[in-house]
Amino acid sequence: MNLNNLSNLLVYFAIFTLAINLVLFSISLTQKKKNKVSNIALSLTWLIGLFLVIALILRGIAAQRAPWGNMYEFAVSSVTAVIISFLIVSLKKNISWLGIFITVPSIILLGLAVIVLYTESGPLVPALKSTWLWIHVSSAIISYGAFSLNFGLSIIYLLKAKNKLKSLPSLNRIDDFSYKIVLFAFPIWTFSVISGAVWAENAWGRYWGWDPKETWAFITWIIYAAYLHSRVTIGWKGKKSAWLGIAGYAAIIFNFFVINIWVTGLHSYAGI
Amino acid sequence: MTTKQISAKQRTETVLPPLNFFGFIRWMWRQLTSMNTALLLLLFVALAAIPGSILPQKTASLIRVNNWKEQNPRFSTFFENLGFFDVYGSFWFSAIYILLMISIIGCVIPRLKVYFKNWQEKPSQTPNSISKFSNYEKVKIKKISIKEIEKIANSKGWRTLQNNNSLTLEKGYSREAGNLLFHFSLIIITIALAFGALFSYRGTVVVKEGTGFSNTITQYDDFRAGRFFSVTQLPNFFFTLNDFRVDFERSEVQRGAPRKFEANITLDNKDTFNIFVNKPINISGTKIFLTGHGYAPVITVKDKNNQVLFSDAVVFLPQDGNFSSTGVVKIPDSNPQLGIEARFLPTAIVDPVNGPTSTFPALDNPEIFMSLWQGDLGVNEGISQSIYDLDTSKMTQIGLEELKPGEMWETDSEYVISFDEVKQFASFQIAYEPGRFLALVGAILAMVGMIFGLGVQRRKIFIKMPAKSSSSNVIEIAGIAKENHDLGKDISKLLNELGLKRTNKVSREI
Repeated sequence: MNLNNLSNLLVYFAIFTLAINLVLFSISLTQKKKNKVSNIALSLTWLIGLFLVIALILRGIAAQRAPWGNMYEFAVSSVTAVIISFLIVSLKKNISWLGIFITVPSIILLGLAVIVLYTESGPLVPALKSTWLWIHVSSAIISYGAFSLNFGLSIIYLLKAKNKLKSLPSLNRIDDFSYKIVLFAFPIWTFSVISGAVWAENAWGRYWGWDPKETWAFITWIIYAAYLHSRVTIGWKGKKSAWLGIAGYAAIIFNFFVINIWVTGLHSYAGI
Repeated sequence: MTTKQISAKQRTETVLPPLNFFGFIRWMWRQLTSMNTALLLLLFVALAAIPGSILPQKTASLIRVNNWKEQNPRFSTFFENLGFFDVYGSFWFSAIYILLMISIIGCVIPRLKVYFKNWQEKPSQTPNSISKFSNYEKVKIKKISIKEIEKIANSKGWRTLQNNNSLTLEKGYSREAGNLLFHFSLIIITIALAFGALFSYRGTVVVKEGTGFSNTITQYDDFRAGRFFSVTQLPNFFFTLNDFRVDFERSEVQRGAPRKFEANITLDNKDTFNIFVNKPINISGTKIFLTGHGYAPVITVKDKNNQVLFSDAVVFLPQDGNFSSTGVVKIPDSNPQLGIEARFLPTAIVDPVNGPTSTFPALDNPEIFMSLWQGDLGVNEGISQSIYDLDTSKMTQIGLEELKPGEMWETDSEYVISFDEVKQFASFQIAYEPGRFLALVGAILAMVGMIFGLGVQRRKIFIKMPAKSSSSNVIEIAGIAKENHDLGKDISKLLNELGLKRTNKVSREI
């Protein structure tokens, strides 16, 4: 069995474990704040994180490069980032109530990665052979991970505000938490856009050319800037912020799926 | 009407835009620089950027715009009039953007004034009673003077104001500084973009192996420059493409994906360089980028008297990942005029369904499928034609043939066409972007400003010492924090730094 197959197997393990967690986290929502079920689910999440990290490392070793050279790898990396950021926060705070909202999108994204986006690992096309791949794409992955958490929290907020969910932290806590995530992710996203511009200058001779991918990165940036700005200056909170969080995430998803697959631009590389 | 009545009347009208000119301007200015407007403009910029990412843009590819227009004739004029094919150069996009910038400037300048005023001033005085502030507590202390506390606090970055037996400590001034820096650097980036748009130039050129390019406008296939660019700005250089090397993946996984591009050039008949993707060469600020490549089969056409009508390497444009390429030869000087429409396949197979196709991008089994046309090329009508298209409307087809390198085709009607060899071509982008350094400075400053503006939290701590006359050794401490800041941590840290252990917590109130 080669490293690639092992890597794929681990991704399947992760999907399988996520499916178990889907059930466990759903059950834990009906229980008290601290309960056994959510503890088990949390331990399993650590296992999922471990599977995914090893899967990525193996793929990186097999291809001898950063494991984010195509859409499949980028999707797996993003899910890993979401799960790792969830785990890091869970060390400090009890956020197992958030688990279900991490698990659902993770399963969907990994499922799409395995079924639709899968590409065998291989060396990079020349356009991606650059140190900037590490810098530009890794910062994008980290901020995508964090923005995904914010998206989950925005949904939770809106559901809770409509009294659809009972045993969750207070609205204020959810709101504050999702704000802090944007505080963390926004500078990283900004850095990702800037490093992308530096790379573009180095590869194509212009630092900003309104390529579709660049445009949507810009739109995403604007929406999250509006999120922070509206909060600080005119006191938007709660529902309004949650909707902006959802809009920002919609732009990210649009950029990842629609622009990558259907729109031709400079970011179109061989083998989605 | 008395003057009193007039002023009363005016007072009631102040909520509406005043009718006199300056009043109206001031009213507009206040609307424009309000936070609500800034937010709205911000979201409008995002919204306005969307059509440009979905519709093809002239700045990226004129050909794709024209194709789209042909396919969607119903919308083409309407969208053209709206500027949807050049969104980022359109008046409405610029208008929104410029309004946003004005709004930012109008917002930053007053805040800058306030900031400098506050910066020079000392923190506010400690209120008489501090027990109503958050994290209020009384701490028993060892003997320490208020001067000593102030000194230590200053060394830990607190701004202080001492007044009798009370002390105000303040931190977090860099938050507003960061915010101001961030907004200021957005203006810098805008200036850099504008500067780039006015002075930059960018052109593309296709160069075949063995031929050269000298940096003059006429040699470019496509050239774009800013409004203030002048031809004399083009630096004088000349390069020859000696050799282009490309490797493709041959194993099953990602078969056919490119692995290496490398263009070997000689600059000004002196130095030899390799240009790679992502590794341009820089000639005094002008950069040469390798952006693409393809095949240029050498085709020779002779007439029955063995007279050479045409002999050259012809650039064939790749149509797919396996480099099935199409190209055209036009011979306007022969009588009658001749034209060849051809498909070049680097690894040719004849597919029963799709006909001749290429299955691999390297030259494993190169073949040309060509058709020869005779008649009127239409080049004499003064309308500029694409060198990649043959207008066969006034021509008749003489024959079809497939050739491998070295093979010849003798047509019935007196022509001999040979496919001599295959050369490669490389396409280069040559660009001069003068605003890029300023833009980078702006971007870095924006990052720094953002980190301070978002990360630093403003807070004040008040300390009240026992009156000098009293023998009490209990101090009161409390604070205010603006951004959900954890004051408790600050206070514990401060007490630690002061060496004031909470020897005995006297009381703790909210």
